[in-house]
Amino acid sequence: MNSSLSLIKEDLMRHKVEVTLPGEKSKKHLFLIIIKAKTKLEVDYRATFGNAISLLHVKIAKKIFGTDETENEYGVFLDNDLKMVFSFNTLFADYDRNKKEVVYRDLDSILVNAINQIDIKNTFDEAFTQEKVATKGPVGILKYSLVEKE
Amino acid sequence: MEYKLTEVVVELTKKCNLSCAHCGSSCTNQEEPQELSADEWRNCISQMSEMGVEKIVFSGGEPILKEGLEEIIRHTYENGLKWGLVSNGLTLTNDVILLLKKYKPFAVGISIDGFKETHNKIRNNSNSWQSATQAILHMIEGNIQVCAVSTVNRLNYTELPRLASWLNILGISSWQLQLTMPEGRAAKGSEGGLLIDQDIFREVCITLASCRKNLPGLNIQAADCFAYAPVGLIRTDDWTGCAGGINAIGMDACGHVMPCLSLRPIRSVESVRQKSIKHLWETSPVFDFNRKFDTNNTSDVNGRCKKCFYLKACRGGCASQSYSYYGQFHNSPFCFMKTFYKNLTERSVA
Repeated sequence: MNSSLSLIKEDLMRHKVEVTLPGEKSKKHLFLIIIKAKTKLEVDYRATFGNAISLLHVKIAKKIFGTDETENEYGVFLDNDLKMVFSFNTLFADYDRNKKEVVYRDLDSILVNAINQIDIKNTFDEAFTQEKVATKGPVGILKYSLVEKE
Repeated sequence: MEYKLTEVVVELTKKCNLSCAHCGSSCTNQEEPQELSADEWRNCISQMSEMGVEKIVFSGGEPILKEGLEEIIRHTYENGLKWGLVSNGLTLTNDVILLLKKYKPFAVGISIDGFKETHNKIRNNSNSWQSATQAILHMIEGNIQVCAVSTVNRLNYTELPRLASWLNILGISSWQLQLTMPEGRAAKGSEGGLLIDQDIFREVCITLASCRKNLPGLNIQAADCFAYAPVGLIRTDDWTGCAGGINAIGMDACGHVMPCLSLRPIRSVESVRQKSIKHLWETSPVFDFNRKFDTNNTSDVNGRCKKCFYLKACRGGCASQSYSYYGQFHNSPFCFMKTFYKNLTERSVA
């Protein structure tokens, strides 16, 4: 068992980094590995940003990420005993090799970037072949006015 | 009277808690000196009701700031008129939303001009986007129909495809897109200019049609400033030209009538303090450009519009856009048909 751990540790040496963990002042030498796990993104979002997010963010995150488990990628810092000391969802944060710290993405941009952009296609190049349409009467949307959904 | 007034867009006040770069009315944090009081607006609403008006939209300025707003909307509701309100969301607290809900608006419009950075930049307020988004969610939770209103310009048009998805996920019911025009503060221009060009207009039309196709549950509509377009592509109904003076009017905060709140220079000399709305509707010359439009005498129509098959229905596109760019009617610079179709001299029927 011990020899296996040594082998793993040897392999892990390639992943050794210097880092100042969030909330700490001094640098540590830790192993940084990437793992994947099925988790709820919305829960991670709240856990990652804690008090920095408003109720509004939580509501939107639930709408965007849903509440089902999905496969997510994590950066995990391990100490010399291979115990996890810190982890982060790579959608929300990353390890900055220059700064030697974990940097967080902007919590609003995360939500916006998680949205799929509409597929934009030009469909007007064909000849205009509109049938005559019976209108409901005067129809217009003045600027400063408001459309309604019937 | 040949024309029946069915829709009135009311500028309840010019006072606003924002100072947006694209504001066509150059609103400030001050009321106009001669603004109508809540009592006077109630009187106007009674007149509208007698005239058979069906729909009133309260706009501004920021209408939530109007003193006596509750009296005004209660009176509107009690007169059986359909009403809506357009707000920037900054003061739409839960209490205000509950108040609005009590009088059953057909929709509340919230201005959304892009994502946080862009929206806040255009609106010159770092809290604007968050307030607007928060207001949207509160209203959806309160079962109020929400219409997002986006004024398209050079700063935000690239964000529209993603914004469509965002608004859809938030759960809004409608999305109204309109173009920034050279009027008010937008006329003076800002850093880099806000006004779009023909290439951007083309891109925006493609985006709008694609969003309508991909998000059928979201009621996406192009406002009049996109001019005529085949039914279904950028709006649901067949567009019948500028409604100003045909079935709709704008009323400014001091009680003058005009074809549209975007046509501020074309307002009645007299206000509702001097004459009734009915009198102004029936006699004011500010509606002549639309009511007296004659396709056999198109001397004030220029360019491709002159021989366009759709001129009769379209009357040269959005009047306020035409006027703000060229100082004349019937020559809207942005036209869906001119942008996408070569032959407009005769109707192509399948």
